[in-house]
Amino acid sequence: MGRKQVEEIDVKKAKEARSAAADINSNYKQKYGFSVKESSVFKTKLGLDKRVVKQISQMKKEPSWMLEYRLQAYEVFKKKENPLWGGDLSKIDYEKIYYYLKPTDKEGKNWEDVPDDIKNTFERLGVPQAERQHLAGIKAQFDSEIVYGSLLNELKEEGVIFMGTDEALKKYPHFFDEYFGKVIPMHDNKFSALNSAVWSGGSFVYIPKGVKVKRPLQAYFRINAVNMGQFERTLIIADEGSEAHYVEGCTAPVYSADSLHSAVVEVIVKKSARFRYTTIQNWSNDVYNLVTKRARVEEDAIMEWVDGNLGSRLTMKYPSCYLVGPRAHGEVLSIAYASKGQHQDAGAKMIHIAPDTTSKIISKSISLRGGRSSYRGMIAVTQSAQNAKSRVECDALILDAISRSDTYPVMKIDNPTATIEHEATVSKIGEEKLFYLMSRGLTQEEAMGMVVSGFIEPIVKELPLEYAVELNRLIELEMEGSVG
Amino acid sequence: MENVFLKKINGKKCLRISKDTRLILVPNGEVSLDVELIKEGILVEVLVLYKLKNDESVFLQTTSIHSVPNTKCDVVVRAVLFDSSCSNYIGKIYIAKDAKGTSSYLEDNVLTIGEKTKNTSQPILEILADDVKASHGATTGRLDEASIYYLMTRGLTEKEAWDLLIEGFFDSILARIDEASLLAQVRKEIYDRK
Repeated sequence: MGRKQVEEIDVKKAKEARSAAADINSNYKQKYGFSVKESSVFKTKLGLDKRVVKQISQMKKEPSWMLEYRLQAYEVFKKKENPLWGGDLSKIDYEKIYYYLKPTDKEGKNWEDVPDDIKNTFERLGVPQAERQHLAGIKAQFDSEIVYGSLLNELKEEGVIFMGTDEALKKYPHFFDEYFGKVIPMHDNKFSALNSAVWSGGSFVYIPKGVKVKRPLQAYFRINAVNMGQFERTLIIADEGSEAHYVEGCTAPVYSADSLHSAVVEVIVKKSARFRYTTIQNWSNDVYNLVTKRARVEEDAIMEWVDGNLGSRLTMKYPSCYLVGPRAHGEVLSIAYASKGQHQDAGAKMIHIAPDTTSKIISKSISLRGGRSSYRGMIAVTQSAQNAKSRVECDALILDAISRSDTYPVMKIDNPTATIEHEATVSKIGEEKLFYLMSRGLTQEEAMGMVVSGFIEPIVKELPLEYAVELNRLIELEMEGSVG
Repeated sequence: MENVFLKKINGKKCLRISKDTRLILVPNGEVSLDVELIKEGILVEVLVLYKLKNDESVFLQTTSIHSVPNTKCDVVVRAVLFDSSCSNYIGKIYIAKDAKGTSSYLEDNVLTIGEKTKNTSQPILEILADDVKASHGATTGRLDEASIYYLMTRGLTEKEAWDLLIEGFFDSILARIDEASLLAQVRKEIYDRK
């Protein structure tokens, strides 16, 4: 084949790739926008009242204290107003949401037992059969209940518990007595109250004393019904001296109506333990993602949140660490990517309660095509936290004139021995950087893509390989349409 | 560049500025200062310095508003907190949609010397334009014990060492004021205020 022909094919390919990537979420439908026909066995009525809450609890055959807890939370939810800060929540209609959907009768023990249409969904999602072998265990949430769960034998032998929260409530009630709703009480905010009332699914993880789990524990979440909210509830306990990494990734098909995702994630990191929680969310652009995530970090323990927000219409999520034991350390690494019609209101909170506690927050955000990204953070040092240290870095890139970037940090330092540093910058991509790369033969698009990849690199390198590859590819594709 | 010493601001003050200006403020109690840059090409500096004792407190808010293209604003806050004093600062940079070529910076450094001080800092950025540079830095911390030790090995008493370091902390900013008489006034206001 002549050289010219090859070039022509390359140009053609590049054009195709470009048009495909013109707006990744506009062709979401072709790529991920399949929605398998609903075959839910049970669905509560539209909207929320006491009866719906009771019905959910009955369906799950829960202990009576959980029903009481749910009902009490429902009352709190009714009383609390939407927060007035952050994003625009006025368009959420709580009466137009199904609060519980039960997709199949029982949880599949083997892959073979999982119903075909659900299996299809996961295949389209890119959870290949072969890869399952490498995952330490999969908790896949389809609609509101776990349909598939597996746990490698080695984990079982070490005493690690990794299962659906509903199942764990039945099998290990003593953990729930001690920890459920203790890190994030129902009164915390409107959405934690809502979750406490209607929660369903989510993961329960217990890592016994001294156990170090080498491979990440993974969970896939998915919403698949129109107007279906997802209210998963995750409870994680890393016992003394243990180590583990939990990974959660989301992608959802496109709907016409607004969808609400409101999870609660509670993590308890005991003395000298180390826990990392990684999330990459890529909800479709009509999802409200309002999530409360909090960790209680005890003496000498380390908690790390790695948080990537790419999708959703509005995300309000501020993973936090309550540093309650001496020398506890908290860390948040956060990426936000706000494109057309999106508002990413993400950040982190570090509450220093014990002496010699340390924390670090690194946040990177990119706004383009009229998107808005906001960093909202809090560093609090109480009087009891002698010699606390904290460092916050927020960097934001704005790629065009119609986008917006904000930074809203609060530093509340009630102990004079604290050392607190905060730095934030907002800028566009430097002309000289682009010029240099272009002088080396890159197109403007390629150059911009490279600068953006470099910008988020410090966080991407902390992700498991498959997520890092996916994230880089996604950003690369998005960037291709962004010039001119 | 014109120096303006803003004395006795109570409550809220809004300034619309159209030429190179250096604003100096020694806040007391509750103060809110909005500075809007309304002419292209100008530079505005805002220097805020204060020292609090006993249970004194300051509630301060500054907002740098960039409404037109190509303006530059630099806000520097230096506070020293003694005893159980309390400082609460909200420093905002707002860059409007049309204000291309803006460069805006805010720096907030608080020294906590007393045993029961409280400090809250909220540096805020709201950026609606793209061709801009905007950043802020905020620190809260104590004086370096090693510096005090060093000065004491040179024959200073502990009190003299503290005083010298605090003076240096303010002087790094005061050095920008190029009028001797004004500088003396500002110093007096910082150190001798009742």
